Amino acid sequence: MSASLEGRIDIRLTRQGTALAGVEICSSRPLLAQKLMAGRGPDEAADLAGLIFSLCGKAQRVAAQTACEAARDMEPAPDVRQRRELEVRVELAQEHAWRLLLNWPEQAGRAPDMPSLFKLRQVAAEPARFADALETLLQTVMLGEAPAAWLGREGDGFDTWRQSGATLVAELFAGLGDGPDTGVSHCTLLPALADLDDASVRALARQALDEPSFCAAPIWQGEPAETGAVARKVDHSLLAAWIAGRGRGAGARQLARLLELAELPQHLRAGLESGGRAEVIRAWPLGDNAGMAGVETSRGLLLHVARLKDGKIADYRIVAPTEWNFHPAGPLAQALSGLRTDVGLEAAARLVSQSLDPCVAYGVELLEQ
Amino acid sequence: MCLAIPARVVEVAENDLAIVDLGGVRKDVSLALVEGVAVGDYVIVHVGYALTRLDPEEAEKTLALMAEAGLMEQALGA
Repeated sequence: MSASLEGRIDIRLTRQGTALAGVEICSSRPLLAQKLMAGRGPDEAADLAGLIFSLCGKAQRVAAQTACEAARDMEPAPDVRQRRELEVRVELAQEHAWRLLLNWPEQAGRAPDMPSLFKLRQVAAEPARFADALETLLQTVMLGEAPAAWLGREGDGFDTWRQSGATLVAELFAGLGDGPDTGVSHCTLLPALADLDDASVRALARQALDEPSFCAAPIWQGEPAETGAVARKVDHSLLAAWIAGRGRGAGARQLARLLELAELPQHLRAGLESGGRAEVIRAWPLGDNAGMAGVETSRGLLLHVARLKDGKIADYRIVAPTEWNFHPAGPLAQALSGLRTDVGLEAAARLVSQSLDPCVAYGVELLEQ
Repeated sequence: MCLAIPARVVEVAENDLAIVDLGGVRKDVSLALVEGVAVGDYVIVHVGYALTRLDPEEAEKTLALMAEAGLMEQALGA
């Protein structure tokens, strides 16, 4: 029911002897944007986006507001922009925490930490309190030390931390072993929002508006691309060292999430003080009553494109992170193709799928040939 | 895209567990991430966890909007 409405992602692996003969990724996620938004006014569209999307409702609402403003060549007041930046970051933090304290432990056969997630949700409406609660959570539950100290670890410092088993998260990283990462992708990384150039943005918006299939299987400069924390944090020294030594797989994606989460209390406080630079939300007026918004979410870059006519939405497109990462020939397909086939193939496939974090239910099926 | 369809709580059990009804189909969910949920309330569910509690009025507003957008017919397989 709700599953059929939301769609799901079915991953089918075909093993022939010891070789992986096939990797298929089938998404039944419907493209609802045009149907939902057409004919509505900008405010109504934003309210609807906020209401119907459960995991990224804040990001969807902000993306709708921003895309419609860009279409009208308007800019939000500084205090409005600041509030939106904070809301998007708080939502992103909760989703990252969910992956690290619930999904990953469950996959590893450990008990999830529901009380910690609950505490964060309780203060989600107050960014200042949320920043404090997140910092405490990082220090006492996730890292076992102050985020600034953990972020400053260099060289062997990260390995020392994970091998210490100081926290559940450290133990989960230790459980990944010392060998190559699982589920390595070499796909191009989608640029972080701040690095997107105008020409590429215009090309993306045009494709989204003109090619009906683009939003279901987007490509970046001719190829599928990976988005998410790993694309945003790839230059961080801890993550760069992990990738150089082991490859960019499931462990790298979890490390990227933890790095972003560890930086978030400071970013939230800076956003509260300075009025917030535009770091997780960007707008591009496209002319001809069209505009595009980009919002960084936990799963990656969320794009909304709107074209207005007589003050109402005529065309609306959403390009969501799941469509980049679960593209039939994209990061997941590549990551699965490289898995070892002799032991634990299905479990590894689930680990890798979860590391790319689809926003709908998914299943892994192994066929023997 | 993780749609937020309100599901009605029909039974609250021990250990933060509950049963919800979504268009006639019953599902077990965890209430570990929400507080103060009672039978008759609505919750937004994602992969087995209730994310948000809605009072019946809010839920009806959401369901009406979804119906207006043509979502619920699809949701209920009509």
